[in-house]
Amino acid sequence: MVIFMLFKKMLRDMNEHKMQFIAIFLMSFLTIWIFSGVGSEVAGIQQTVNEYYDETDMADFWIYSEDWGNESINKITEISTTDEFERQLVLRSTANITGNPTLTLHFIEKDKLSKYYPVEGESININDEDGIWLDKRFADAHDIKIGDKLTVQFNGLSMEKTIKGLGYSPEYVYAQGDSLIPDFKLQGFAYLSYKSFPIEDIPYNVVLIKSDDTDYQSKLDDKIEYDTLIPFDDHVSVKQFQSEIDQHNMMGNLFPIIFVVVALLTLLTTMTRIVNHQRTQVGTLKALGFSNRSITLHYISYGFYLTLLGCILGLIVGPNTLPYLFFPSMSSFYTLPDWHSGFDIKFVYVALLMILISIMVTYLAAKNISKESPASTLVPKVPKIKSKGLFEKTKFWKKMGFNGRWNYRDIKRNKIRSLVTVISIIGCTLLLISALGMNDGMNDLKSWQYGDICHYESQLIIEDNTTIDQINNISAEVNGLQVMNQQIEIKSNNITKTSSIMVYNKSDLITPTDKNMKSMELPEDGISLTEKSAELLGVEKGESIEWHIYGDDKWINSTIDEIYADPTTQGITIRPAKLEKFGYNFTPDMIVTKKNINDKMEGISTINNFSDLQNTWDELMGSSNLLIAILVIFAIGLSVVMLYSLGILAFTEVERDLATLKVIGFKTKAIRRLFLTQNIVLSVIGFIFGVPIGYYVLRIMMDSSGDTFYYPINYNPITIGLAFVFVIGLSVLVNLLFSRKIKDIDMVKSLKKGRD
Amino acid sequence: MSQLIKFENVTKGYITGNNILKAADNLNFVIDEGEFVIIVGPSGSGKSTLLNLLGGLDSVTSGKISVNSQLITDFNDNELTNYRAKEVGFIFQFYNLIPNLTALENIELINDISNNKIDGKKYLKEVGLLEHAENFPSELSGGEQQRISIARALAKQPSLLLCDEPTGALDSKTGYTIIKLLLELCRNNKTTVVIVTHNIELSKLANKIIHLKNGQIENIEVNINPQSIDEIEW
Repeated sequence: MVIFMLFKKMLRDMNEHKMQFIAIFLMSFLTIWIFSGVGSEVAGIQQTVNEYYDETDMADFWIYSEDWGNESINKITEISTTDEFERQLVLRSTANITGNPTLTLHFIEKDKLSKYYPVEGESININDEDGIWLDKRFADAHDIKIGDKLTVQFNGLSMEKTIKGLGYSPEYVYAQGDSLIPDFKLQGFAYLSYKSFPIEDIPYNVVLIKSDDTDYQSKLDDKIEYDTLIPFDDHVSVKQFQSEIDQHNMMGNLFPIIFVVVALLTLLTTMTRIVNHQRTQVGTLKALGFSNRSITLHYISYGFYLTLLGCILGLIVGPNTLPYLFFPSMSSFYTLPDWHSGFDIKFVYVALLMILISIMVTYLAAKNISKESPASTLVPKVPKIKSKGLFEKTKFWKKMGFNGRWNYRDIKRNKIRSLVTVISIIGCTLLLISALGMNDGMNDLKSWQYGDICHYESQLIIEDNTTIDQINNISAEVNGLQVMNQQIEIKSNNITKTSSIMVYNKSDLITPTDKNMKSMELPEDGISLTEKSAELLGVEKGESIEWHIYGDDKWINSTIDEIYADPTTQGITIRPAKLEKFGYNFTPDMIVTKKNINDKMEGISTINNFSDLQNTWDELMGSSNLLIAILVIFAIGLSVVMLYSLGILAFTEVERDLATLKVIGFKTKAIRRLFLTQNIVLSVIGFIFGVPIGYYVLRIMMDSSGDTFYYPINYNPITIGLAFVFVIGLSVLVNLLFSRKIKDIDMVKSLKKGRD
Repeated sequence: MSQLIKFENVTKGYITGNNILKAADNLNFVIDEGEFVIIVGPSGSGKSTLLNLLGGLDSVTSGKISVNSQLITDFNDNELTNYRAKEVGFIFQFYNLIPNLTALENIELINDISNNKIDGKKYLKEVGLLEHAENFPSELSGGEQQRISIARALAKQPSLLLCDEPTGALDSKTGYTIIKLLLELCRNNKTTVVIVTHNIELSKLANKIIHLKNGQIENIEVNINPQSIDEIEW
């Protein structure tokens, strides 16, 4: 049985309600587009990185110790669950090229675990004493080619090697350096064979372990002493990249929700109107001999085809567009062998689910009329006895003009349509607040770090093995501040977090602040903890934590004397004197100074110039800016499409009444003001709800950005004001689109139209 | 002429508040095949209710209705739908055409529910409106719309044609055309036609006239020699 005529009817009915169905199609499309688009970016990079770790035999554990000699290694092999192990000597060196960048050298024992990934030139040859295999991104930044010679210096030694290959490393997907953002010009890595180490007895300082044993650490503790064990999930590169993936995933799941809710509600309200409006037609069809089922199916098809089309298009377009939008900025920050989009069957499931729900929603709209007897559907519905609401009996009502009363009753009679309008505005507002709030956050972060906290121009990284006297000389010479920055572990409430410890004397070169970016004093004889660390550990000022510096196994119990906030470095700040009371030595890693130092200094390995770093920051913000722009575009699109299509729905429903008003003598302007009032009232309501929801969504997004960065949310009234102007402005704009329609109401034609 | 329709003690009641309103109260009558029947009565006398029950558009509260030897009062929803599709043609006072379908498409609409594909143009020709095949109802006059509606009913080739005030919204000249058409169909195709109307004059054309009042049959007139349409005053 070919249902052909009814199909034609459906197409023409949909054409009559063009705007609403375009809106439904668009919203379904956007839902699946975002979900599958961001999802395929996530799937792609997750798949790539997993394969990368597999292919390069990424280690499961890294164990640091002073010197991994044969005796200690034998203990490792005694642990039965050790599948594979390999020793490395990892140290920082300075490369003898412009800028004296830092090169982290890995002298490897076997090339079995966390393998160097060759991209150009030769693979690693363990027997090659002359070869060095260099970080390709570093090489490109300095225009270094294969075959060039490279000299590096460390611990007073100098070494010249020939570059045999350029490539990547699975341990440097995220290359954390001294600066906030990886700058491939300032830092890099290189792999060499242990045989190329200048000293015969190479002092390996780390063992890489491959083991599936989740209980490995306790087995290890029974056997040997070591400084630190870092499991795979806590590796700084793995962790940062994974949290980036998680954040994208979260956003890809969160934002489509707005669109799917709007799509389904629009479908509901449109179909309810159509079905009620076509009451007599339904009765006629029943009289002709159409079954209830075929009539219900007919109406279900309206939503079905559109949602189907929107979903299919979304599934096709999503994975082919969105990932490629984000890859450029992702690849400037992270390093992977390749960037491609992936696929997950869940995209199809969600699309199917959406189609199913749209069928259910339309069924909801159509089922009542289907159940009625043909006789009753042929006559107009008996209107529900409307009693005057409570509000209408108040004094306030009596004072309200026509405009107010008309709109009050109109909204009351069309609750679902009004609800959809409000929800659309909530969606628009929350997109705007997320976007503008993120923008605020980014700007705040930069000005906080480089304006409120850091007041120095140059950051001098101290070479390993520089003596205290030398350090003191240098800091006196440049009038600088000595700073020690080490990795620590903090424990509290059964939560352990890798963090940092900053040790420096009070100075105006580094001025810590509270979470409102206001300058504050830290206690001279106390321990201060960052806001974010406190949140992660679930502790407050006055409570206690346990901590230790990596490399030392003694845990220290301390009370938190003060809480301060830092955008990029989380952990503890104390004074050198206090550090020494705990039995540690104050060994500064860097000297910061207001002077602009450009020339090489004895004892200094690298100099970071802060204006350069600020520029790099701006580049990094590229991907965030992209996201912000997309959110704003969506916000505009959502509200314009929805306000206009719902406005048309409202308009046609009362077109006859408006014609009557015009006949009576109402001016076009007054009629337009009726709609404007309703639009503005609903927009304001939507806005009021949208703002807190928007900040909540923003909070979720910021919180999912990993443990390192702290984005305080600044409820900037200017931002909120801007969003408000924007939302109301859109309402007014859409309303202007209507004035033509209102002006053109053909009074005669409208009054003639049957009592349908 | 064999019996086509039989109403036996048919009652249809509605509960409003504490009262039961009887729209049809103990109706008893028969209609033979090929008869031209008029149902008259004042407003609210139950004319439309009778027609709705006859057409299977509504269900009885009590009583039996048989059409073509089938007890339609025993039918379930599917059987009733089938009955309406196959046996009955409806003509409504306000034509009830689907506004978004053309004249031709409105007629061929029934192809969606029937296995026999009809050619709508044939029926359009019969009602004299072939040149308006591609017009939408809004582009046609009331009389033209009603003729399309008749063509639609005819296309089903029903045994029973039910008309609820078919000329109610038309001027008298156009009304004349419609009634003439219905009469021709009745006499030529042996279709049983039942018309609900205000117009007493039509009684002269009918084989049987059922007078209703307050939901009850007041009187059933039988006309042995119905007049032709040209003979009566229009």
